[in-house]
Amino acid sequence: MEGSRVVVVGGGNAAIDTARTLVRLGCKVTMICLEAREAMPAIKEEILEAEAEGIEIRPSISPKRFLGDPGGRVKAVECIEVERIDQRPDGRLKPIFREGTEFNIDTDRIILAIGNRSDVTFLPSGLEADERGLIRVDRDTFRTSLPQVYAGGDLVNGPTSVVAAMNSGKLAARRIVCDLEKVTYPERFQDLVELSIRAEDAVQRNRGYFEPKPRARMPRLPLDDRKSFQEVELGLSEEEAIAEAKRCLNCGGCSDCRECEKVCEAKAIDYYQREEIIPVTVGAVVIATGFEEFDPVNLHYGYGRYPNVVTQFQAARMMDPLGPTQGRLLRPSDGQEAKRILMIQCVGSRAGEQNLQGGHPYCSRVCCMVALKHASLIKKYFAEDAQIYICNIDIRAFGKGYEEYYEKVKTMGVKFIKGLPGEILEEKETKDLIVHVEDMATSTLLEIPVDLVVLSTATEPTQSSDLLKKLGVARDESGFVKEFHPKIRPADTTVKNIFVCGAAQGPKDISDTIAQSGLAAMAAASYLGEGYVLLNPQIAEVNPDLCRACGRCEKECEFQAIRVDQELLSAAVEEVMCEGCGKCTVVCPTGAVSVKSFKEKQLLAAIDGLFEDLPERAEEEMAKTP
Amino acid sequence: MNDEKKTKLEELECILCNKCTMSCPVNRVDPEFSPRGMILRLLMGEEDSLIHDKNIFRCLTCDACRETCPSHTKFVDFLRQYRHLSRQSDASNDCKHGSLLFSIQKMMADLDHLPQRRLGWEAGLRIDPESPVCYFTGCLPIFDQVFPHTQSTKIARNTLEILNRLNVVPAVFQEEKCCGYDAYWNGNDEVYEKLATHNISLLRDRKIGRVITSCPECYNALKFHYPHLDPSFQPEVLHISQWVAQEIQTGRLRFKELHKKVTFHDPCRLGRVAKEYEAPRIILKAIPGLELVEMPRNRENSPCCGVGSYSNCDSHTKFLQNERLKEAISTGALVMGTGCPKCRIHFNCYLDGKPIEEFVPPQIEDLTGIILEAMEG
Amino acid sequence: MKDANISREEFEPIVLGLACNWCGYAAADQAGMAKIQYPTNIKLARVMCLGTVDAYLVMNAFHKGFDGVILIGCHIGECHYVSGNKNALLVVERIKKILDIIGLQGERLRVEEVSAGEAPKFAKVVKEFVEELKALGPSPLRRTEAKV
Repeated sequence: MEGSRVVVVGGGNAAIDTARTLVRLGCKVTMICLEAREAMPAIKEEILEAEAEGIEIRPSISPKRFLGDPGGRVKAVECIEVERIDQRPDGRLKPIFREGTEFNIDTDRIILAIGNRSDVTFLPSGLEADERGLIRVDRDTFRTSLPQVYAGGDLVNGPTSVVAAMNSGKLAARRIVCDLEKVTYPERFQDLVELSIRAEDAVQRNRGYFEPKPRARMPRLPLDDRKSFQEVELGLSEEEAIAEAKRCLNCGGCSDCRECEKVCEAKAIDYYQREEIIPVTVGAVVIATGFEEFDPVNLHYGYGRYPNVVTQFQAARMMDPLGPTQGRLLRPSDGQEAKRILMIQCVGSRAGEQNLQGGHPYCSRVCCMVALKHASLIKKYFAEDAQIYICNIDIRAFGKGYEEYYEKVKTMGVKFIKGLPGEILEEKETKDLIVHVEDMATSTLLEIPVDLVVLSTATEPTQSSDLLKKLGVARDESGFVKEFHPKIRPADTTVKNIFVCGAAQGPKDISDTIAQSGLAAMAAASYLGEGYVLLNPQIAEVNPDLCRACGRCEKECEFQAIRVDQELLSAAVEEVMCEGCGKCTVVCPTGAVSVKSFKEKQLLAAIDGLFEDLPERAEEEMAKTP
Repeated sequence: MNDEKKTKLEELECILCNKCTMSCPVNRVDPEFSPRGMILRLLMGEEDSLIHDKNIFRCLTCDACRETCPSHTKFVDFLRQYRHLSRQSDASNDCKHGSLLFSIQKMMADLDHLPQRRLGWEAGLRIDPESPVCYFTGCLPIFDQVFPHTQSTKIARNTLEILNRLNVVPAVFQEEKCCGYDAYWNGNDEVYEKLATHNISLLRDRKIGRVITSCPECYNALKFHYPHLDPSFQPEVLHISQWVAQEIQTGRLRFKELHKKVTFHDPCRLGRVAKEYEAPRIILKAIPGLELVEMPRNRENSPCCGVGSYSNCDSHTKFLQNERLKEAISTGALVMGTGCPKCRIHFNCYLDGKPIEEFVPPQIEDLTGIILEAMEG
Repeated sequence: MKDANISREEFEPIVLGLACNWCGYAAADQAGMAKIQYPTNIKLARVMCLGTVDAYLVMNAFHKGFDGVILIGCHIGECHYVSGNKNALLVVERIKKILDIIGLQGERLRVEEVSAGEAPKFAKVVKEFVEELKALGPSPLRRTEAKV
């Protein structure tokens, strides 16, 4: 083998692989192929590597004859130049040769690497194929012309790769399942469809998080060392591999490798777990969806721009001994302990009816006590000598023991400034903050340099509005769940069997939340446990002969007391829920719904009666005037 | 009582063949309602029961029966007199919108020489109180308040703008009252006569020679009913589609391109009752780029939109509207044009609530809207 | 009903008051108990919520011959049934426009927010309305014996 000459016929990857293997076995290799250089099907890099390894590549050459010696051994290949390659109408390629350009290449061996063809002789008749012997299939369903027969892979696509063939097989298998189960692809493989959709989104979304980085350059075996079958591509170092992995956009999410399952000691991961929607029938619902924090980023206090402006929630996290700063109140800019702290009250609350700067008109109730608590904690446990200022409009210490707490905090040396800052500036070098505020009590303009500004942000109703919308409960102008009556029934909503408690109904602190939750629980329990429901007799009723099933009554009712029955195509009143207000009667286009005791005829009769009543009196009055 | 049509039982020439009931749209959704059945009851001497029967108000007065009847029996005219009798014996029971509109019409009839404030919708367009041409607006401004989602005054504005663009500056009167068509067909004869008398005097005093209206019911009232009340009232009365069709045929109006696929719903009062089928089609076919497709039931076979003169609206009405809208989209058209503001109100009212079947409905557009769009380009 | 020509000076308007059970009517009750005077021109009908008042009721009242109609109910945001009074405002706007169109003067219809504890406001509102109606004069429909 060593030293022999070999001609490899073919322009694809198989030919290149063959050639490069032969070179390592010590042969002298010439590759000839019909295609022009640019049209060679082999991977471009491989072609370059092959040439670098000393393989002679001669494109646009066709073998014409193989010449041998009388002993039957090959001696040379008679070749001819290819002018061009035409495509025949049946799809096959026809090379056009240049007449008179024959020449010989001497060689000891010839290896053909000119591609494969499927053996379709075993296939039943009736299976449509094209001229090249490739089976015709529907591109989406993989169905052939014969029922219940599917095809994929090289048989359909012509020679490609193993991976393509496996992909084909997998896709076809899914389609077969759909056909057998008589469901559509999206129905059956919903999660896969969603996966592909999510991947798209993820790529778009993630773009902003990554800097473009070039691919790592794969180190290769030097040419001189490529005599053996040692791998040419040497592989990346650990650092290079990690850097390369970091280029991943993570668009596909889970790759189904199940490594997490193997590694989890608590056996908490179930690969086959799928999202399940479980319907639960209940008699009552208690809404306790809590609150969210107002985002002060649009205000003029510099939150989001100056690193040393934080909110009380963030300060609380820092002061938590198990928190991210291990219980130290630090400045985010340099990690130093904050010694001069200024708190600003009413951030996002008490913003007037115009909702100044996106704030809310209401008082958020808890922030004053939070500020006092934090001030007290800082003084007691962190830095006794800390300078703390609290800028406020009022200090609302309304509850049991709260006023006394306030007095105590005052004695600790915390300074209360009656006024909210007009401007906060940052020192470029130190990132200290200079707070400009007018103290209205002393009518002085102050400029206070501090390490940390803490904003007492308002609590807002939670954004789970979709859920609340579905429950159909009324909400007030600020978005909190509307209680049925603020004094008499604060834990009820307008819907008889839905109750509310806690910050979802309005800003409140822990003790009030606990109290109201107890009330909501009791209200729900007694509602369910009563055993009977007292009905209001003056409720709506529907005349099905007039009802158009238009659904306007259903849309109007806040008590969910009237619904269109799609089977009967008529509205029906839920007697337990109906309050008898009569709003439905106004929107009904035909007058099908009316309220007992307040029917149109009754009201008209009342009006009639009222009118008839008066003339006597009017006459009496007129008789009195002189 | 108006006796312009044969209304006596003896003169009906009904042969009890039942073709009327078979072609009646109300009977199709509620077999209890039968025109022939009513005539039969009268033949059996049950006049009193008919006067007190709520069913006489469920007739759509759409004239489908007369179209099919081999004797051309004018069933609706015949029924109308029983509605009148029913009103007199206080046995009537109107639907919600009906009772509101009738009470408004009655008030208009009873209020004389009052400062009506109906104008304002025409702001930005030209009117001329001295013109011999009058645009009779009808109750469109009132419909805007009763059916707010449909914006009926848009039709009035469209019509006036079309007229203006073709150099017609009509008179539009503040003192105009409801034409009385609804009152007439619901048996409120006194109301009708008062309203008609008022309008006739108004148009005569202002020397109106031509009346154009965008509502087929006003059209019928002014053209056919008023002259019976007062034979000297003989102005030229045109529905806007007829006038525009004339302008097209005399070459005074050419449209710009408008690419829409449209089907046309013949309103009962323009089609079967007034026999005007072609004017809307002349218009639509004259618009380059507009593809007109016909529904299977068109012209004299066009079914009623489900409500006639606000006499009725109940649990059966929605089926009629659903059927017609499905028929419209089955043609492939995305727009259903109609020549009657009330048809538009009724179809939109159905679409405003929950449909009984899920499908993508066509857009309901009044003819004037399409004309104007094609004039603007 | 008697009458025909009521002269302006002697004219006493007849007003229909539609008051909601929880606020307007309760305020009227309070006024009565506190002996606060308000004009007898108003005749009150109780409804559960102003949201149940529809156009036909009001039109009917005018047709009957009432010189004015006033709806008295809860303040916006305090409706016992959450939003009934908001609906009433919309309905009243539309009816006013219709009254204007037919020449019956939309000013004859009014809506007022009076809560249960505001008895003096109730009296004030009724007094003002009656004065305004006196200036407007009798309803043109009052002459006729209109059958509804």
